Parts: sequence; structure tokens; C-alpha cells
Amino acid sequence: MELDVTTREESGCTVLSVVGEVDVFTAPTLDEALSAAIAGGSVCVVVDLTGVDFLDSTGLSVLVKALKRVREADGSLDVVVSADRVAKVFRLTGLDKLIPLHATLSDALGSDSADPSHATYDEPTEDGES
Amino acid sequence: MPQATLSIPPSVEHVRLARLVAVAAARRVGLSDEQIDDVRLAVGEGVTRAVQRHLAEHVAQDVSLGMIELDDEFTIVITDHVGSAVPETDDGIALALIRALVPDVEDAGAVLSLRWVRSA
Repeated sequence: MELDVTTREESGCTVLSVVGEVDVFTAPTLDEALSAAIAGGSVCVVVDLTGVDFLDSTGLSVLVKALKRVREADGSLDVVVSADRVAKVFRLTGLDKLIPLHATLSDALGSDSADPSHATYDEPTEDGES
Repeated sequence: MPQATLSIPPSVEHVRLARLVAVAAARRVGLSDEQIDDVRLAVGEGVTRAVQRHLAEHVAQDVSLGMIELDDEFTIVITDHVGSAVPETDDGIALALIRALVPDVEDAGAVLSLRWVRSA
């Protein structure tokens, strides 16, 4: 299975929409797209994982590497996560404290994302309604 | 079941196959949806680690995934063919995740056992 990553500019940020499963085989595709965005001078990067139903520690490593690079340029990196299965990986590793998570893309684009305390990801409720 | 084994070549593109088979086995033995999600991630991490150990040490043998159902326990055993003294390649993130996901973990380096108990 391939991973699809499409990059576009929106509201002054570079948005990477990721579709598929991010693991040790596909993570290099995400890494390349993020590296290209950052090398292109983007200091506001949003990674939209709404279309991702699996992400492992290899995917997290790629995001952490990108986070370090955007922070060196005084920029920000935000992540959009809707599946609890994917959000759980961030929580278990404590990475949700480091990378702002958002439930929707508009939340991510509307936030002052340079400050990690502005993370607006909400836990899904038991009945699945958020 | 009660027992099944999958062997995969030590290449990163085969990790997904191991995840899919483990999830199918977990579903068959009646684990909950949340447990099945944990199986998917933990097996992915464990098999990735085994494959990376093989690649780092240039070991061409297969990595094996044993799935054992015994009463209400479901155990997955990931076995590689690399001596256990190989340092972790990822600062131990994979193992930390596995320990957070799996109630009962036995790590002997080349043999990693993950055990779940079926919810009543």
C-alpha cells in the first residue's frame, strides 16, 4: 500500500494531506514531503492525518524530525487527527504535549499554532460524537 | 486456532502483512475492538524492530510471527535470528509503546512475546 501525500498552501500555511497507513515502509514518503515543504521556506506547517488510519513510531519519528526543523526557523508544526486509534499513539508517547493536535483542519489553521499550549484536540466522547 | 505461524522476509514492505495477519487472528479469537487496535500497533512495532535488527546485522533469514490461542489468552511471539545484544535503533520508542499497549510483555531480545486476555 502506498502513502499519498499532497501539499498545498492554505491560509498562509503549508498543508500536507496524508492518506493511507504510515509505517516503516511508507514513512519516507511523508519525510520527503515534509522536508520539501520546510526546505521551501514554510514556517507554518500543518500535517492533516484525517485520512490516516494507522501510524506507528516510525511516523512519529518523522514528525519529530520535522518539528525540530521548523522550530529552528521559529516556525510551527501542527497535526490534525480525527481517528482515536491514531491520536492514541501521540498520547502514549507523550508527543501530544510537544505537537499541537487538532480535531479539524480549520481548528489547526485558526489557532496560534506556535504555542503548544494551544492544542485543541478533544477526546472523542463514548458515544462517538465530538 | 489454536496455533498459526507466519514467516516474512526481513524487509520493511512486509511489516504490513504481519499486521494484517495478526489483526485477523485477534479478531478470530474474539478480542475487543480496542484490543485489536492494540494488536495492530504492537505487532507492527515488534515486527518493525525485528526486521530492522535483521537489516542492521545483514541477516537474511525470515522473521516469524507465532499466534497462539490458549483458553482465554491470545499470545503473539515475534522471533528474529539476531543475537540479543544489538542496541535499539530508535531509542527504545518501539518497546516503550509495546509496553504501554500490551498487558503482558516478555522481551528476550530475539524473542518478543505479547499476551492479551480476552475480555469477558
